[in-house]
Amino acid sequence: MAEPAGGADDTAPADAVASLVAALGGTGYVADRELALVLHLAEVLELPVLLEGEPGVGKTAVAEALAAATGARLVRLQCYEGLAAHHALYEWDYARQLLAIRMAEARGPVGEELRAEVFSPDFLLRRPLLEAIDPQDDRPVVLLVDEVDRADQEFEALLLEVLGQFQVTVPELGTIVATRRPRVVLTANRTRALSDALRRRCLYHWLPYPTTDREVRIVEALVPGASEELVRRACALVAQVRASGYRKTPGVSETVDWVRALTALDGSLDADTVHGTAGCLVKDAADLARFRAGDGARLLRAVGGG
Amino acid sequence: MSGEASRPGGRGGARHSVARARDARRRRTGRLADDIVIFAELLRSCGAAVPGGAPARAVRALGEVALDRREDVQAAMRATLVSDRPSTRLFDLVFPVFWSRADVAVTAADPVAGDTSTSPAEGGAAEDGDSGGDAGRQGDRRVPRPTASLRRGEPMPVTAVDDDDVDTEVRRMVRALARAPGRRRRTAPAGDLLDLRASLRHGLRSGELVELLHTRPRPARAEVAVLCDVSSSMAGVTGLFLAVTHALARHARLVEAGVFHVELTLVGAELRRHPRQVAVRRLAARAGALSGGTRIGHCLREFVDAVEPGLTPRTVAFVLSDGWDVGEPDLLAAQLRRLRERVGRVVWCDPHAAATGFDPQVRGLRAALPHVDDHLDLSGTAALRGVADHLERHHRNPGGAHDRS
Repeated sequence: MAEPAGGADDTAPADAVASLVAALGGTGYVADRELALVLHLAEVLELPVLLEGEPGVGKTAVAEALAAATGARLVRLQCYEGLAAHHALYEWDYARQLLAIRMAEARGPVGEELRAEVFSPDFLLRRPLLEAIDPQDDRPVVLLVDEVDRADQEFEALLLEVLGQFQVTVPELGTIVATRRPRVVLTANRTRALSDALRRRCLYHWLPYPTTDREVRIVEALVPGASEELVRRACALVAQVRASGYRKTPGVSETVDWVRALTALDGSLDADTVHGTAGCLVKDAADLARFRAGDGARLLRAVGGG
Repeated sequence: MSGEASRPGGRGGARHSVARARDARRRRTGRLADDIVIFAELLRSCGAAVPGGAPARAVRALGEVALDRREDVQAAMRATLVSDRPSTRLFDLVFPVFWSRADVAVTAADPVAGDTSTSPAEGGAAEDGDSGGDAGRQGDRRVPRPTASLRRGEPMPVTAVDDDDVDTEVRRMVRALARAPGRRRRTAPAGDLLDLRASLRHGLRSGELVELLHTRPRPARAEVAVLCDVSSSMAGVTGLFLAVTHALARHARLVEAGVFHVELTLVGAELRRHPRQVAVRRLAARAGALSGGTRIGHCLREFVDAVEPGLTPRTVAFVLSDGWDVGEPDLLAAQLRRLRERVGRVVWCDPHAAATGFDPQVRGLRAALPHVDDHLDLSGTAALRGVADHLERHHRNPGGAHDRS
């Protein structure tokens, strides 16, 4: 490893990254090389990726695009407070089990075989983590654990175990081991500190706001009808808004919504349309007042026109 | 809004890190694996979070990227070595210094000049990297982070505090605050929802399904944010206050904790990681170096800026301070109002609140009180019991009444 002089090896992985950028681009996600490299490393090293970033920079979209680009199925686990093992891993379908027991009793005396029957895979409700480890079909899986910081700290321990071993033990059925490890993407908004143990097991990537050029390409990909000049000026203005220290900074999805709104009006970017559509971009009462009071017009002049 | 707020460990810290990186570069061996270990040590010594095992992972990752693409090498090492945002920034700051362009060529296919000396141009560029080094900084909140290097000053005299008492009382406080129903449930005879899982398991044990069990919501753990004053006017009670801060951090669900005098330092992670005595000693040593005046308003603003995404109406904010403020009182009032809008309750613990004939003469405190739900005395361990009693009696918002028990 210390003398990696193999020139031939050096070209192959670089191509893999470039082709991943292209594949992601094919699904409408404009990725930079750095992100693609991290995703590529995650695949070859078989590690989960932890994506952090401000709201609205497209963290969730990364997993969706990755699944689409690699032809995998996206299994999504949305985290929330109180999320527990039986929401994330598996649960027995107790209502159906009760029914089955009642029906069996109605038919006559029941024995040990009933127990085996009601604890068979038919009565198992498969939740996202089990589904990702043991998918029902042959397709590869991208497991998205979305907003992992919203789940309780206790849940992280369960997640660590599953991500470490890629196996789930159901006492009545035995241990289910992943035949093919899913790609795992975790996203977090920094609403609470994640445990060091979880961070240690992941590749870390901070997703910044896109550069203006990249944002132009993103918006062009998502709003095909918008004129090139409108998109360029709108993105420049959004970049200015982000630098102005507002309480809620607009994300990429806000830019897309805004350009969509401007296009739906008449495609012009002037003082009137900026004032009218400010709510697409700035979503806090104090921010909105500040934006309409003069900030918007000033920024509009800065990007030309108004 | 937070533009002018200074960041502990900001520019001075950056210069310090760059100097360390230059030192570390001289120790480089030319063997990639060894150098990565040295680099990881450098990052840790500058205060970055580098998990154990990360260097080995970095070596594996470099086996998968094109070593002649510098930005790929940097991205691969960043993804594997550091694990949070502040550390990412630090990484981008010291990377170009430690791995100067010429040196990476040693490991790449096309060896250029093997220049390992410190060129001034390169050092200067790296120091500029503090402000421009991280792309996408725009619109990003500046988050105060623990100062990487502990400045050794005169340690603050920390009075001995009975740990058990503090623990007992703080546990009572946290229990008293944990009244809101949470999203997790527990079995209860008169609960409002059926627990089919427990019912069936219970039925299987007895062989007969006769009894249906119920669940009710389990109270959510109290969520707290703590801001603790360690300025010199507080010297007598700093030990107690730090102990209370630590106990709150341990027993409640901590959003974040900060200690402040003229500058704010976020210490949540440190409090969670270290036992009481270690944490208090480290904090007291750090606080002693700079203690003097107090700028509560300024520090409160930084604190709210940093923790805003984590605050919810369920959060209880604790401010432990005597209210002496050398800054502008208007700023304190405005920031306290901002805090109050974002949390469910603000509890201000004051070492002088019980003093005879107490009247908030301190202008900072007078400006603050309208936005405080509970203004409580905390002058000693006995008073801590009073705080717990008060929170048990008024486990909901007392509606702005200022209790000076």
